[in-house]
Amino acid sequence: MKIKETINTFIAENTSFIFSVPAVLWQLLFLYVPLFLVLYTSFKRAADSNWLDLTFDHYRTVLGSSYFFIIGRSVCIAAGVAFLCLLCAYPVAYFLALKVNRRWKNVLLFLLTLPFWTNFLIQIYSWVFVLDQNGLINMMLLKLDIIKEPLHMINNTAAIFFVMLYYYLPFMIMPLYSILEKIQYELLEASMDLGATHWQTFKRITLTLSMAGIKTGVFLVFVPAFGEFAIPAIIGGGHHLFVGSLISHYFLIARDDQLGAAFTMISGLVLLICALFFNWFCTVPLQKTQKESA
Amino acid sequence: MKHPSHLVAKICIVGVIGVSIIAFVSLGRVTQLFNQGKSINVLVWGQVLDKEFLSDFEQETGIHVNMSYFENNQELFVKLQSTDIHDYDLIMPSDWAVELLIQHNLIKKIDHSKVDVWNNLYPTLCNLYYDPANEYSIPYFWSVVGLGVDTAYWQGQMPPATWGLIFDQQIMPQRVGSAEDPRVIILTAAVYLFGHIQKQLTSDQMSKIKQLLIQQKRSVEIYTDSRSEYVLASGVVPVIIALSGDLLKIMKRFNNINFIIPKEGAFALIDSFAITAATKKDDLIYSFLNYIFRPDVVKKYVDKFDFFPAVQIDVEYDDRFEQITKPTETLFKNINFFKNVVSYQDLNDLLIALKS
Amino acid sequence: MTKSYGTYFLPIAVTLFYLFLYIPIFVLVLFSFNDNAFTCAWTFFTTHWYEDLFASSEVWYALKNSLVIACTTVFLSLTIGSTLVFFGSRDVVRRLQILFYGSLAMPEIVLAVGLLSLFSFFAVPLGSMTLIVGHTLLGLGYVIPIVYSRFIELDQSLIEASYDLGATQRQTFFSIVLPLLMPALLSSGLLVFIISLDDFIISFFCAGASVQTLPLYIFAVIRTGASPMINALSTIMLMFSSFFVLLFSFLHIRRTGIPQ
Repeated sequence: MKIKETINTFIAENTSFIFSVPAVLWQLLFLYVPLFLVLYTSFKRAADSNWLDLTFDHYRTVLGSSYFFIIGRSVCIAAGVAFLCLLCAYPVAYFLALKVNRRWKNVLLFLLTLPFWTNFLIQIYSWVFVLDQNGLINMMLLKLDIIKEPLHMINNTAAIFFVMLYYYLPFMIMPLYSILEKIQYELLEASMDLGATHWQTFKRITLTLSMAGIKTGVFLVFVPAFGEFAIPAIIGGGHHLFVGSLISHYFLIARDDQLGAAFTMISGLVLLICALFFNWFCTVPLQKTQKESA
Repeated sequence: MKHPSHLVAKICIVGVIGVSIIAFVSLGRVTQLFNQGKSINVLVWGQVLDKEFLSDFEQETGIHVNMSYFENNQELFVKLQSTDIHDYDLIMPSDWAVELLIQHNLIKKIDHSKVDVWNNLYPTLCNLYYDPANEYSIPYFWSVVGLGVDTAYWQGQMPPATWGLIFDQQIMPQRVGSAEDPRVIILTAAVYLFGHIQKQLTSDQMSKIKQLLIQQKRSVEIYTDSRSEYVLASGVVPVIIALSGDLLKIMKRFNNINFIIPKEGAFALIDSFAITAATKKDDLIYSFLNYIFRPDVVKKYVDKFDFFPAVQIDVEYDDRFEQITKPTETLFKNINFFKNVVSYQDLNDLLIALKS
Repeated sequence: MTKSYGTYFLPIAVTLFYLFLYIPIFVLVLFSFNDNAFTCAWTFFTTHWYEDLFASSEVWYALKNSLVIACTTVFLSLTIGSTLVFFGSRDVVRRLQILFYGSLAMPEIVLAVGLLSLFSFFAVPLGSMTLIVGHTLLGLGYVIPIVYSRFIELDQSLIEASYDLGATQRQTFFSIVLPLLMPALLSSGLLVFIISLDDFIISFFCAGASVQTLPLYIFAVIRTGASPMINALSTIMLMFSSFFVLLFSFLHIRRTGIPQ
């Protein structure tokens, strides 16, 4: 039948279009349209006002200094966690990728990913048992008479930082490991045969080759750490607000979508600026080392 | 692009796929409409009711009860306003929330002839400020909001009964626990500074409260609503703002935990059942209410969850609990409520100023 | 290469690291056997938390929901993602890739807030479906890059040869491309499964009151401060997942002869 033929030819000529549509439409409908909706909500005067009634009021509130403390705190913690994760994860990834033989590698990788399989909340909750006033560490230290009063290790910002560090380490190790694995060990041996010291080899070769992995790792840690709210809720003691806690407060508790949307937009903007800055920052030293060797 | 009809066809395809995605997402609503049958959707506090003792009711009446739980009143508002009202038939708001719900027309009047529970309830818990004739709500359980203390810190003696235990470093130099809900911390500070709360707080009063809270912050170990019992029982703080109902369980278990009604004034918190305005299953709801308010059913839940019911039943408590087990006239004479006396704007400003 | 003290530095650091990594796991398992629910003091050994766990209907309900949602999410992400990758034309897909990085480039809370706004705006009731939608969004962000990078590494001549020998696009897809892409599909499927099962932020915002998933249930219990039942639950989950992962690697080694 002619209709069936036309349909068949149509499908044959346009398969790529037809099969790309679901994915693209999904992404548009559930990611970009909602973002646009949030942007629109941030300009709306109130929940029940006319849809044309737009205002900058909410932005004016959110650009107050207290809000910047909140955003600044989240940025500092996220950046600190990312940096420290990098420092701690790099040696481990280096060791696993380059210094371990095949058999041990699998065992160690398996052991590394196993904690990843426990539920995220439970991992955090377990630290309460360790850090609490009557937790493992304090009890041991008190019993051994090393301290007289229990250490105050929980319900403060340091505890949040520490537990975040713990949680985000695997996110940093994975990209570092996969990129370090691709470096051939012979390259490093050759470099040292040619007279370079360990440090020079590391700086000129390993570091530059793993730059992409470092960038990915920092990105994978910084972005979620910036929006984190579960860890502060469980470990932090409620003393300070973070970006994530405030956003969830506005949308789920105070039910102030407009102010919440404005705050979300501003936080998103700050995140973007940080990401661009970091990107620029990574390329600068790279250019410098290239000039040095030229 | 060969034919213009191809463009039209492509647009149609996008439309079809888009509509099917949306239909998929709305599947929830469709199944809901099909499931209407003989069932009711009940939204209650997490630590007070569950389905365990409902099997008799479900078998007798054939009504299936879908129970959902929430943790705080704001969550209640969110769930009522963002999802369709059809979602819930019966809810359990606190006193101040009932006032707001009535204002927003989210709950409907209760037909007193259909619910035979009024004789069993404590009279002090009925006809209060938020619903003077109990036209919209039936109280189910109540609590006193005061201070939970660990008497071990005072060598087994009872500490002075004042809110100064958490606000005044000279009375209590150690770190204390406070509440997370801004409403609670503002109003307890208000009672400590100004006494019994009668009307809307002025901006002058608000700034004094803000000052006190910011100054208190250094000596607060933790701000929490739901972990107060745990924090007190594990000895992290010697005193914390707590609900009598929440402390009941640990007071029974640990002899050193006690409850204080501060001399400046404590608060009562009453949680009631209310019927959502949009429901059509009134008859089913009334039979459920008649069942859940039966003294023997209430007793089962009290034994399981440890709370103070509005229904008068006989429960044995030892002397330590004397002040808080029954809503007596003396207790309720000067008691405060978490009335809606703070504007949302002020609440938000204070929260940001305190915790930034 | 001369051996310096530096050669001992790395192994020691790594060992310390692994010990540090396992502290919570150790504590978790240990305290699931402790009778005391309130402080960290050890009272006596007991397995009654495990009994409570098995008797608790809420846990099973939450687990069932989580599994159903996770499986549907995996199915949807894999189908939508891989059809895009294979059937979409090469350069279109390459340019579209950027579109899909969006879900990874912003904190999950922004995604959750967006979804909540979308659902409120269109008055869609929150429930399992909305959760599945949110999780699939996350899932696509992982499936598409992983499958695509594996796809472009495929030997194109195999596909061309298949066409030359007269196979239709559909036949080629099912007999040649799919088996070759299988490792990427499996690993991304597994990743999406874990992410959906473990997901907390999107579930917290988009689940509504009617659906309870495992992370939400755990959060509710943790919020109120105690239950070693949660410890018991995670010990069991840990046992299951390690068994599962071992099995998976074992099968992989057997199939391909290459340790992963």
